[in-house]
Amino acid sequence: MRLTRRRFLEGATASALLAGTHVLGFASRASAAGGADSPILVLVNLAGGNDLLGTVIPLDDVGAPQRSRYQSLRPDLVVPLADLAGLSIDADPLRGTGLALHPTLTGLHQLYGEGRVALVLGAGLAGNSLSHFEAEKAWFFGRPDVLTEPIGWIGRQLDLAADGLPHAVSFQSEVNPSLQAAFADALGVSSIERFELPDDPLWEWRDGLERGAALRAILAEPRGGIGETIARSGRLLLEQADFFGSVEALGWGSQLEGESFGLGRDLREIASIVRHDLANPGAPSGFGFYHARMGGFDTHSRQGAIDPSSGQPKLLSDLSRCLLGFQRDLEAIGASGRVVTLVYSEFGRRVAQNASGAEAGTDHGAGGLLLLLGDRVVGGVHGAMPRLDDLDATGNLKVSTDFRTVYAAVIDDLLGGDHSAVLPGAPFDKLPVIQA
Amino acid sequence: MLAGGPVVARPGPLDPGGQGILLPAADLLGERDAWHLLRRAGFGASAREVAKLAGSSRAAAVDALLAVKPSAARPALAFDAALEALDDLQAWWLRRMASPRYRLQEKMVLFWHDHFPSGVAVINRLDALAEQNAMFRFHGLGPLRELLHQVTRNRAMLEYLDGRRNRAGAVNENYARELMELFSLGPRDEAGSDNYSQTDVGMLARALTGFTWDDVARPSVYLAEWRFDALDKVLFSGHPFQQDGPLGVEGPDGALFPPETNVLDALFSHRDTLGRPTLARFLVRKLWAWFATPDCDDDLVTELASGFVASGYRVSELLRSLLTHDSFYSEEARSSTPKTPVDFALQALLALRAKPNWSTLSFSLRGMGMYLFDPPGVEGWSHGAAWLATSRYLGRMELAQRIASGRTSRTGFKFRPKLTAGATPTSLVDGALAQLGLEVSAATRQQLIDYLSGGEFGSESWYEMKLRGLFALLLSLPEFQVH
Repeated sequence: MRLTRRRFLEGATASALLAGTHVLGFASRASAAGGADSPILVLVNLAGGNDLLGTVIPLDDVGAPQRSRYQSLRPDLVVPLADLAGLSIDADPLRGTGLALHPTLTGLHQLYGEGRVALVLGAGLAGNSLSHFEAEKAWFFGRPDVLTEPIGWIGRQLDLAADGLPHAVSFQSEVNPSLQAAFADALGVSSIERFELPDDPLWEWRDGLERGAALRAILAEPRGGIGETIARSGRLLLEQADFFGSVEALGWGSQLEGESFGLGRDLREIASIVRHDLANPGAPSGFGFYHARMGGFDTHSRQGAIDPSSGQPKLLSDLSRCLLGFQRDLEAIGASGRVVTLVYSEFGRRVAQNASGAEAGTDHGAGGLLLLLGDRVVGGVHGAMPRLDDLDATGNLKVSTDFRTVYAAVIDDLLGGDHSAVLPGAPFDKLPVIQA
Repeated sequence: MLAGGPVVARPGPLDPGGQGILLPAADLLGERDAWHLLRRAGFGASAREVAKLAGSSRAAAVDALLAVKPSAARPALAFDAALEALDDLQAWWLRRMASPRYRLQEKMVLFWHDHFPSGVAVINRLDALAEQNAMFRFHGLGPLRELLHQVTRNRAMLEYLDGRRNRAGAVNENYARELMELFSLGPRDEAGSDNYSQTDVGMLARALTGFTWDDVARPSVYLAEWRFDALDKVLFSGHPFQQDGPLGVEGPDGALFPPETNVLDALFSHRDTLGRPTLARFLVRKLWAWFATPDCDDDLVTELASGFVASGYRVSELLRSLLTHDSFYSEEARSSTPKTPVDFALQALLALRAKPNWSTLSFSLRGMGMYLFDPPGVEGWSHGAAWLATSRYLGRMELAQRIASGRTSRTGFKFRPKLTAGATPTSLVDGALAQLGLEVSAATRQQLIDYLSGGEFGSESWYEMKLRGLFALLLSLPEFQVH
């Protein structure tokens, strides 16, 4: 079976050479971005709107009545102080309020203690929409003022250095808009393990070579409009199937070995590609940007307070385990100095619970949590927890940190770019979250 | 196929006596038009069916598509069917989609499933999803007002968007927000003005309180008086179409609120900043994108929306105008919209008259990004180029190969390419293109002929293998991914 697949690929490549079209050879990869020590940015989207107050919890009323308001506005979602012992983090930089991470976030707390986690509180945009789809677009596009912008904030960065090679992989089978560029290609990948050209199901098929050549030649024909978009995707997949087939995605000792789906698997596959690149310095993948998504954060009901088996605590528990495993994998393969993971969500949630008892949930809100992980981040608490006694007209937290101040730091200080060429409305005062 | 110029009509609704009245050719379906109509208003067809339809008038063809009785058909599932039966439910639906009788009805069931999504990510009860699916089948072509009412009091939707938990004193905004944003109005009108405020979301949520059911004592959805917020509310405050009073949908006796206090009617009376019917325009745009092209010309929206309103918001009447409209038969509408995975798979199977394995088909659909009853979220599936992102295109190539190679049950599909005596590579390629109703460039056609001619010609089994390879290639072409 493998043999036929290989023949198919050989056919594809041979015909491209004959046709004189561009072949993504290893030599051209090596000269592109994504070399052995270039930075890698991993975006993780917590889709649905992650609850800031369910993740970073006020411990006292220092500076503002944060704990008392937290307890009175959402009595059925409160994490008791006793459950927060040993989970405290630095105090709110603005008001001095004591803060702790949710009890399910033990892995993240460990990383925080090592100085590898930056927590940006109250992140968002002033006046953000309470619509999932409008709010997330502001994060994807890095601008609040358009709803149909086809180019993502990372896409614009990619376009500045477009060299005809793909440098971004989106782990959700469709390409996340953040990575969408005008010229630079991004791949939508559900799993690299399954990213291979079909085996011929019948051994009698002996013409894989000819078929691959014909398909390759047809996809290289000039087309316009949507036909060209599709053909481009086809050419990319023929090129990349070869590469992904060579990446060892399992069995190399990953902490996330047992994760068979979701964020854990996606992060393991990202670590697998980075590991492959380190082992093959002459033939790196060229990938420097990844996007993964974890859904379920739209906790309108049964949000849960501490029970880690359901609701938001279950989601946080999974997130914490995956992030810890990913960081440890990167350390083990010697890549942790290059990779920064940025975790974001379209908005936070309403402060007051919307029902009582086990049914309690929270509606769409504002002022969320942005989190960065990696050796190169400036660990600690950034921004400020919005005041719980000074909510907006809807009962939402007031955004305290414009997330573009973080994007600007990532572009300038991690990627070595110039954020004013990438973010509309620039310049922004960079939030110091990346070590120079 | 049909040359331009006037054509003598066949006897039909436009020419009942068969007097041979001259009709402009545009009113008659050519073969290309027939392919287009059966692909868009259904899930494709065989070349034989297409040839049969060609020559009919647009109106007669669309009448025939719409001549389907409302049906609440659904597969027999246990009341507490577990998610393991999802395969059966998907297979049942796919088989029905492939049936020529129900093609437009099922195309609309799929549209509504995408428009009013509910799925197994939240709902662990298949019976509720099957019930919702049957509700779309029954109401999907009827008056939109009734469909919206049924969706609002539907178990799967009440679970998926928390309507069941929305009650007086514990207002849950989830369904109310999406009802306006995604299901009926859109967040803003074409001039960029907000269609509603956060206050409206809260007001509408209060008006939608009270729906519930009890699995044992009272398994049908009802409005529980003690859960309903009967206090006065103001919706769309300050607008000419403002509504106030004890707004709601229906009373505890199941009777509908009168229009002046019924919030579903309020959605229909919403007008945009230019005074145009917001809901009608919103649905017209969405249906145009589903059936024709991603964007709809403003005048066309106005034209279709006014007919929709005049028909009492009957979906079937909107489809009649849409599917007979000149713009529906434009070149752009034929070739600019990527097919959904379901369209891709069923069009391939129907055109090749291949025998499918319905249960393994769902698994393939998942790889292409469209697992039925598991939409990615409340916004439904993303359409357009997103369907052809690399992994998903790969999934299509995989299915193409499985279908084309389907000689035994091992691959799950049965397909036998026709090999006629005296055929040449050129005639075989042209025959295969005609079988799929596919148009390709001269260069592509030559590549295909070269492929078929290549290698050591020999036995009949060699020809069959090459022909199967040809069909795998054809189904993988960019041109077969759009319609």
